[in-house]
Amino acid sequence: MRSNIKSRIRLFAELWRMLLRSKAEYRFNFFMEIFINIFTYVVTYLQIWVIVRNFGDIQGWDFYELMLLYNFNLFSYGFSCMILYHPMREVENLVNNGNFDGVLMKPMNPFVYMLLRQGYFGFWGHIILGIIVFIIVFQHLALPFTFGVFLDLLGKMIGAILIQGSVMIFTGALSFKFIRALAVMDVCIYRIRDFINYPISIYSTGIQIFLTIIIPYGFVNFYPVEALIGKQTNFLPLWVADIGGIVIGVILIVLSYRFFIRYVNKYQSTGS
Amino acid sequence: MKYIKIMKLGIKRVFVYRTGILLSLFSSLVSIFILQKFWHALYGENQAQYLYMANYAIVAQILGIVYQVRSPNTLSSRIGTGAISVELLRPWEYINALLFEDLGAIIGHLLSSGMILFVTSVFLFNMQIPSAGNSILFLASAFLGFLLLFLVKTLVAMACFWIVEASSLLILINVVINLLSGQFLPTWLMPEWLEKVMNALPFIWIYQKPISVFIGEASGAIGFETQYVQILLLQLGWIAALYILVLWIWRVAVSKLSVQGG
Repeated sequence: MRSNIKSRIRLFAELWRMLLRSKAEYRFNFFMEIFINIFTYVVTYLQIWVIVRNFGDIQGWDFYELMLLYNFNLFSYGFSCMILYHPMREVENLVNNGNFDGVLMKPMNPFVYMLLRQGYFGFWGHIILGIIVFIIVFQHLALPFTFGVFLDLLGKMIGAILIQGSVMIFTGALSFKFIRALAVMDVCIYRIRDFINYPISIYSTGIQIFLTIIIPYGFVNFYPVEALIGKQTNFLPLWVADIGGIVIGVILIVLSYRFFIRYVNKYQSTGS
Repeated sequence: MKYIKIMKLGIKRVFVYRTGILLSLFSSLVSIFILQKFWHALYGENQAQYLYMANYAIVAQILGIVYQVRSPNTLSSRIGTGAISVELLRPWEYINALLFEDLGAIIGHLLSSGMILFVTSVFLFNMQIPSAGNSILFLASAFLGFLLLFLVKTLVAMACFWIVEASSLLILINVVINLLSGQFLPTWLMPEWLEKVMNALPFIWIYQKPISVFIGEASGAIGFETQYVQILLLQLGWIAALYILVLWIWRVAVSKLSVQGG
């Protein structure tokens, strides 16, 4: 069993190395992809700065708090995309051109195998910028950056990554059933993500409940950040805002994985 | 005549993927909703300012959904693959063919998603309807804005003649346009240095200026102020300058073009 895991990790490392090498063939594009993503979000932060410069704050959130809020979304999105974005898109391609049968032939869990099919490394841009912004933000927040706070941040970030990741897995699984599921989901789900670019307290209670219960994007950044910096403008009890993200994240990632595998099995039974 | 045919094909192409229209509509409506709440949170007490920015955001979304300039992407990929050599053999000026294809696309989008978004915004988001004079000037200004957008993107796409893999620059220019065109934040909210940069570049004539015509004051019998005519003239000036630049670079590039292989 142990050697199995070991060899699998070696396999992963080797595949990633090969992918990076094949990417490095087009070096200009490789760095361009990363640079473009950094540039895009630097512009976004600049726009937030401009707004705060004019208005002082957005409903009591100052510049660095807004940066932290946005960065939770950006970093967790970038991180889960790095692992899931391209593979989940590939599911649609493979299902549509019938090549998913080939995936099932591999002596490996089809989900794990899909994770190996990476192709876009631009999300490093999100991650690099995300780390830089975290460093900047914590120098300006009243919150001292202790080891305890670091662990707290880490836990909340893992929760956020799991929630974002589960959305990608759910939508990836739907492409077993619907043609062009991704285009539909891109709009329906990812657009909803735009709601959390700003503190969700700017929306009506109905929208806030929607973002808490139906599509729990509120737990990606708003609730964890409020709990982290000791704000409480939300209607949740403090402990729910505090650990809700990671609990919901774990539940959703397990559910989405099961959902994915269920559709893989259905695909088997309908094939040939 | 042949260009008109290309344009018609461009229009038809819009209606091939109807789900696409619905999706972009939905996505614009969500954006408008969020932006309204956003400006409301900022301008809470100041109703007049809030309404102005809410309308601004709606018109920006309508322009965004209509301005579907795709040909420069086609151009850059054709240069990249070398397929451009075939295009040059066709019995028309390739740059013009691209322009008319996009022109068809924006007409298609104006008649479908643009119109629907306009009507929905009037009912759902209380968008103000401009006077007849301003409406006509807005349509003209938006058309000129499209030409500018096409020229800017074509200019960027032509970088592919010299730099291989420059297609990613087209994504970059979208971000630049987003920031410097006033699509989200108009010049008067920007710090002075950025406002100066924006005023010196052609991008505000793509979004901010046409929007200002749409939500601007109207007076007189026809219903517009003469300052808006000035906007159209300045847009024409930018178009003329960029068009000459595009044509010149195009000539130089094509005369030097050597396609690898084959």
